[in-house]
Amino acid sequence: MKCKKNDSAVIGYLLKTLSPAAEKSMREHLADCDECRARLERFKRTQKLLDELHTPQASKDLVRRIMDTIVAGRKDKQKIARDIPFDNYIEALGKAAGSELMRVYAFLTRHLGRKKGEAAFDEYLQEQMALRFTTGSGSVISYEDLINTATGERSIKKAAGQATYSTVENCSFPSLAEEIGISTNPCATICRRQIKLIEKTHSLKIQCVRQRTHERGGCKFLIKPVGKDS
Amino acid sequence: MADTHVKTQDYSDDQLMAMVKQTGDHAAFKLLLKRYQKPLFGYMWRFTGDRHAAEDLLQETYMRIYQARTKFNEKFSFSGWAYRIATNACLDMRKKKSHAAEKTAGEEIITRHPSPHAAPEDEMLHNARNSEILQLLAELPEKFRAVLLLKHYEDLSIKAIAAVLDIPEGTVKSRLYKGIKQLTELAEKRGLSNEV
Repeated sequence: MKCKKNDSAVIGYLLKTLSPAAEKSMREHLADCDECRARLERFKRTQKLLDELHTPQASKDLVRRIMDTIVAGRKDKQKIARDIPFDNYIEALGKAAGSELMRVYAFLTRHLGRKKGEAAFDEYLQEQMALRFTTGSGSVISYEDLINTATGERSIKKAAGQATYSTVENCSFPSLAEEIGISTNPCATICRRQIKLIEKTHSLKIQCVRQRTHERGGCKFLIKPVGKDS
Repeated sequence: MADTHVKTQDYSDDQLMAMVKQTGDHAAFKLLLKRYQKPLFGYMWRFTGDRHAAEDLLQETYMRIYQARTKFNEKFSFSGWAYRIATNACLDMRKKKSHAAEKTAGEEIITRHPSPHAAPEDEMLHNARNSEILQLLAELPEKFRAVLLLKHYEDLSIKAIAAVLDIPEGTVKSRLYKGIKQLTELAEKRGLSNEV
């Protein structure tokens, strides 16, 4: 015969949250009811399961770091830098540099007109691409490297006949333009102008043989030294 | 500073918080942080299942406590107040995450930010049992989870939990019973109860 006591009464008994009278009544009931004793065991197993959870320790210097923030008087919600992988920083910096580039292009062409704006942008790009940043630990990151990070994962392959192909996958420029609300098509403007600059500074001829960035498929460039046809 | 530190050791949590409230005493506050680091971190780790999230939340909780120090009411315990702020921080983080997920294309957010429970801590990878228990807790609705964690792991009374969550004691009991029942059913479904 099914017992009419509900699970809540059994759990309440287990957790000692019943009133003294209800607890006494439940204790007496349990002595006679196999079904409720079985239910009690069932919920006890859950408690034991929870006891098995091993909690890790917080970082040892967490309190010191929090106190540093408070003592420094920073009332804003400042994030404590933890071990963010270096690559993530580089990717974020690359995207920041990429979005800045697009904003500058959009600003200059809007205010100076396309022709003058692009000429000014080329000058700006040339200066930017020559920049080198030295970190506190002494390593050097060039602006070009940062931009390359934003313009996707690169691989360079030398095919038969000495032709060199550079393939770019997952370029973030189109999505960046969309995110920051700039109507410029970065493939047709920024990327094209970058290529021109690289051609000039490295004496190369770069031909875009596949442009599928918008489909996240990636672009492919044929790179040839100046003066050679193949 | 060292003298203050030695003296403050003997103070209760509530006395220390009263000192922080009156003078912004850093030594007293630091001692409070140390006393509560383990329980609050543990609570938020169990709530989120993610170590980094728990550390961020602990920082957020302490910052909120310090910023709201002048609003601390001595009639209530510091412990209950701290757990209330910690719970709110956990719930706020969840809301922010849900909001971010709504704003971003669904597929992408799943790929980039899997549920913390789906990707347990590196150090816990070897501990499948831990992951299984965290998974179970993660599947409980937050209102059940909070009550259950405060009762089972923090050993708070029904009255204290009611004060922390600002809900009637009857509601605490009802959520607790439902939470245990739901957890039991989930554990049995996964065959976890049998292994205990």
